Amino acid sequence: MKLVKQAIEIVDENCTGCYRCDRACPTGAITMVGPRKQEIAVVDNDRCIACFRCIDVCDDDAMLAVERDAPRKVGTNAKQADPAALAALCERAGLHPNQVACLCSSTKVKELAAAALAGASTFEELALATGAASGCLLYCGVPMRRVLHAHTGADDTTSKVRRYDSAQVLLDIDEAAADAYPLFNLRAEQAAARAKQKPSTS
Amino acid sequence: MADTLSFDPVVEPPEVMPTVYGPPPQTVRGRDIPGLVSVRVRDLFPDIAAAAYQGGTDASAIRLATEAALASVDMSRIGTDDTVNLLCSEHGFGMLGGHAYAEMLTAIRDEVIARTGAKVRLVVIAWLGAKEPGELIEYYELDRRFEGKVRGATPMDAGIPIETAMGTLYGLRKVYDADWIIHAHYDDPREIYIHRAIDRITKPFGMSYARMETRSIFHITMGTRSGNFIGRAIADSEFVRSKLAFSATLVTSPDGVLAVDADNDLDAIGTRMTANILRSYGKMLALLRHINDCVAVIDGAKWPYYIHAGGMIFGHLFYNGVDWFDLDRPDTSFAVERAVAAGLSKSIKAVVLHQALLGLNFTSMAMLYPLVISNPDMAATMRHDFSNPRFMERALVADDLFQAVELAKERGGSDKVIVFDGSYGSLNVSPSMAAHLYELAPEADRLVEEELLPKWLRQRGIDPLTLDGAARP
Repeated sequence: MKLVKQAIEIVDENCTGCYRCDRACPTGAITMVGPRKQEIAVVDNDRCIACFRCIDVCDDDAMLAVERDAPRKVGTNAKQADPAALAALCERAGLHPNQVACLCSSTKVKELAAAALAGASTFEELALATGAASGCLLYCGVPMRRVLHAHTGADDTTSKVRRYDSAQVLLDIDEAAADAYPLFNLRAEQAAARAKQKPSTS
Repeated sequence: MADTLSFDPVVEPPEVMPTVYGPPPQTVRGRDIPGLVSVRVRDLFPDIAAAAYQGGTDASAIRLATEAALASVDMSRIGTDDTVNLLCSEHGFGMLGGHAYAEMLTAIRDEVIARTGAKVRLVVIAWLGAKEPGELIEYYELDRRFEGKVRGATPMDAGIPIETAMGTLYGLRKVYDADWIIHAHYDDPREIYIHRAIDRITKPFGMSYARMETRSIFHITMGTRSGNFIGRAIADSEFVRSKLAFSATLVTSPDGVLAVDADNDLDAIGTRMTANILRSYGKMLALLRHINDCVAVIDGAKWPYYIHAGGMIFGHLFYNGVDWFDLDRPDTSFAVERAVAAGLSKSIKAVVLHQALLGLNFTSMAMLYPLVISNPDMAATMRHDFSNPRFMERALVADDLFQAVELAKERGGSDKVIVFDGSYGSLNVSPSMAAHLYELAPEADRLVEEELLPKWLRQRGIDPLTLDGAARP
């Protein structure tokens, strides 16, 4: 869940139509509008989760963060999902429901799963439904991909944001590799991971 | 009450680099807090190796050290027409003001060109912000130093698949799109709570040199020891082994830069690096772990966890509830974010946030301790921190640094102030903290020398003689 306190304003006269913001937005809130080679960015602030990635990639001072009149709450209540379906989805994803998926938005894996069960089927929809991917991006990529893949059975290929299909977890490392590198304690940590595989969604 | 006259005056911290990812550099610094003194790390622990370089723009000692280290490196595989990517990571510029790292990189470039005639390009890899690499390139004049052959990279840039022992992982294309790569690193232990000093040399292969997906695997699905397998798996891949010409590193202690080490053999330099980390930083870590109570002031040019005081980052204090070097300690959880929580400091009583970068989640700092932001610029920065959207709900904002420190001392019930301002060699502290550190040092010295260091080395299969190896000046 994330409380979105800012919105994005676009300075039209500064926008050069470079598309960089369009390709950086995690929720697809930005579209490029206008005749070919004269497009400028337009933002749908109902889809903005205040990650400010658009401001960061813009070299033309065309994006501004402004305070919203009232914060917008972005999130999905995991308690509203069917508990059995939620647990099953998390298990298929190979993730504990209570594991943090995104520190920046305080989103747990079970919230991602609940959002998927409620209809989110792309990275953009998952981000919009939970607030995940609105911060540092150091954590959320793998759990988002694994939940989506476990739910839809297919990889999301519609994203404008560049992504790669790589989402290994500890238990994916095979025994030969684990034994070849004893210093990394792989066997013991894998055993601990297996012991936690029967989760509670409370 | 400790007598201020019995301690050294404060030391000048490194300059703060201007950046769009933080407040404007503050002219009032932590060292200006009335009554502060400094404590030299080598007064606390005389056997911490003395630095050849402790900061400043004159880094000629680093050039000489780099040339000396490279003398034993075989560059015969690099052909005249070959391309070479010299890889650097942003944190190297966060050490001692960054000039040592910049000079080591420049000296490597000059030496490789002189000996091989190859085309050397610097790849400046920053964490996330699209503008970070450009800021580093401008501030350290890397464009001039590399005659225009420099480019930035972030983990959002195009990837390249690497087949490893844990499946396909993704590196950055900009890192690997040359005939050869040179791994130019530093041995600042940084996040010991995650890497545990077991394979520090390979960490950038799974972090700086990797795509965001690979970083996410590290942070979210692996443990504090198993996570390090990612960097090792990539470094051991045929792809990387076929491109890695050699590695070089700044060799440091809390006193500053001791030397430069370089080797064609990644494992050999890695073992020396691990041994030096344990030897050089173990006593200061033990010292920080035994601090009874303190107020920490964050005043530097990086994210809060990564700003130094006496060569030790704030994260070393923040997560210093346990001995992370001890590989026998039972891990309470395989998940990193839970495992590191086991080490949260109980000695920090309040935090003053004076200047630091945004973008890394550190809301827990404000949740755990009274946290006072010391100026309107920093407060404005935090209000727009996408990674800490609820930080300001828990932070107090003071009018200025001095008021913030007084407020933090009052809220925290401690007058022992320690300033994380980027300094190596000495810590800027209150007299009461100085006295406390001197009280604690003898036992920390004994503990590490007699019990911990032999154990740490034994756990890693490192011969204690390695401590006297080539990495030492």
